[in-house]
Order: sequence, then C-alpha cells, then structure tokens
Amino acid sequence: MAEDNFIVIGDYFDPQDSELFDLSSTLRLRAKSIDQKKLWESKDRSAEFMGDIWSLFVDSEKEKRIRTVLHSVCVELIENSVKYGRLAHDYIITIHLCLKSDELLVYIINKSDPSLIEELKTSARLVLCTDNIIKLFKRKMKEAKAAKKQGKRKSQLGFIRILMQNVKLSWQIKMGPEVAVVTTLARISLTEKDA
Amino acid sequence: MNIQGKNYKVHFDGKGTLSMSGKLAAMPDEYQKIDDFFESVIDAVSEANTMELVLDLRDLIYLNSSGIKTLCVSLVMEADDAEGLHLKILCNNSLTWQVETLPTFKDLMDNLEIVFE
Repeated sequence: MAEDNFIVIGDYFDPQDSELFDLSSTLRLRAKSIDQKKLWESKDRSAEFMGDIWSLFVDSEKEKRIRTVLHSVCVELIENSVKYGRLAHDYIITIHLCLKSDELLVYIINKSDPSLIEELKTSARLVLCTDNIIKLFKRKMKEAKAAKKQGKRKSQLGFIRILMQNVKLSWQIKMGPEVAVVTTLARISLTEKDA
Repeated sequence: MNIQGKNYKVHFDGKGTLSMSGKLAAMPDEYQKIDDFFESVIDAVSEANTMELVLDLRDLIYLNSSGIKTLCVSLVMEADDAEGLHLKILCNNSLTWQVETLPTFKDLMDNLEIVFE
C-alpha cells in the first residue's frame, strides 16, 4: 500500500517503534462471530479485566486511578469500535496494552467504513487542537441539545471524556478502498505529577 | 416511576428525588427511553411547581459518555430551562468518574448545586 494511504493524527507511534516494554498483553475480539449486542455488553467485562489486571503492575497508590482510567478508556474506545466497525467484513477488534516505566499505552485497532473516516479526522483534530477541554465539553453539550431537537443523537463526547482524565490520544488510519484500519493510541501517564 | 436495566436502575419518587444506580453503559439507541424518562421528570416537577429536584448519583458506579450526554442534555440543561428550578446533585467522592466529570456540569446550569459525600 502506498505511503500516502497512512494518516497520522497527533503524537502517534507504533508499538514496535518504542523501546522494549516491561509488559504487554493483547485481547482480540472477532467481532463478526459475536452478536453486536453481546459484544457491547461484554465490553464492560473486557475493560474491567484490563483495568483489574494492569492496575496490579503499578505502584499501589496509583492502582485505583489506573484501574478506573483504564476501564473508562477501554469502554469508550471499544464502544467506538463496535459503533463504527465494518460488520460486512470479518473484522477483529484488538486491544493491545504496553507498560513502560512512565506510561501505559493502550492501542485499540479496528476496521471501519472509509466513508466514516472524514468525520473521525475532524473529531480527532478538534479535540487535539483545543486548549480548554472543559469549554469544548460545554460546547459539545450545547450542540448535542440542538441536534436532539433535530432527532440526531451524536455527541462525540467519548474522546473529550478521555482527555478530561489527562490521557493523551493519537491515531493512525490506514486507508483502503473497502476498509479503513483505525488504530487509536491512548497514553496514560504513570508519573507522579499526572497519576 | 422506574427504569430497570440489566445493570442499572433509574427511579423517580414522584416528588422531587431522582436516583440512578449501578453501571450504565447502554448502547446509544437505548438511551432514548432514558431521555423520555428525564423529560417526564422535568415535566412532573414543573407541573407540581416543585422548587428543587435532587439527583442522587451516589450509587451510580459507572456512566459512559453517551449516558453523560443524556444526563446533561435531557436533565441538567432541561432543568436549566425550567424557571426557578434548583437542581442538587448528590455525588460519591470515592468514585473517580464522578470526581472528574460531575463538577463540569456547573458550566451547564446556573441554579445547580453539586454535593460530594
């Protein structure tokens, strides 16, 4: 695939580009083989599992926060994977976690419809360029209220909520004619200042 | 009035207290009935000339972003539009999502009180 079919938004890097991780784990869900409603219901268990296991590997005073943040990040990003997943294909949602000494990296990979990518790019760039996430939250809620009157339900609050927890987001999108492979990276800091 | 989900419950006592408990991370379409429920609560307190609505979230362990949007748009912002209505939200300071998210609701309503216990 040509190089220009890759789109990077934010400070993204591949797991293999980084130094050796202290720990890593991968959970793969073959989405087409699971009923979408069951997949949705199971995401909370998957997120809890990730939060419970990985909070054990951080300092005890950070354990509660990491469990909570990791659960929240996984729920929001798995929900996006299910909502925007390409059901026509036998797509797989991959949740890949890597622990470094100072941060926890969460990679969520899924396949999406290429027609949805422009909207994703707009949302991603909007949340990354804001200097006041609370103000953006308020704006999005006002827009959601106006949209509701028109019978629309989108809020794009998931990314904002993740950023409100001091988690950094970035994306890599590999565009294909029928499917776009979207990798979302959430970086959870483990340093004293942020954690 | 109640909505009983698989892992959550929404209850209105018919007077002035609305409570939510459990874990609420429903699919976006499922929030329509909660939207409607919140709107009926606002209608009920407005018709009864109730001056204060208490929203008790102390036992709501988790709420996803679609749920936060529903709560903001269909309850908090609707309460803001109801003349003279004071909204008090009871929160749990041991639940991180509440500590990090609920204070931002103050930007959505003037006559709002947030109490952490």
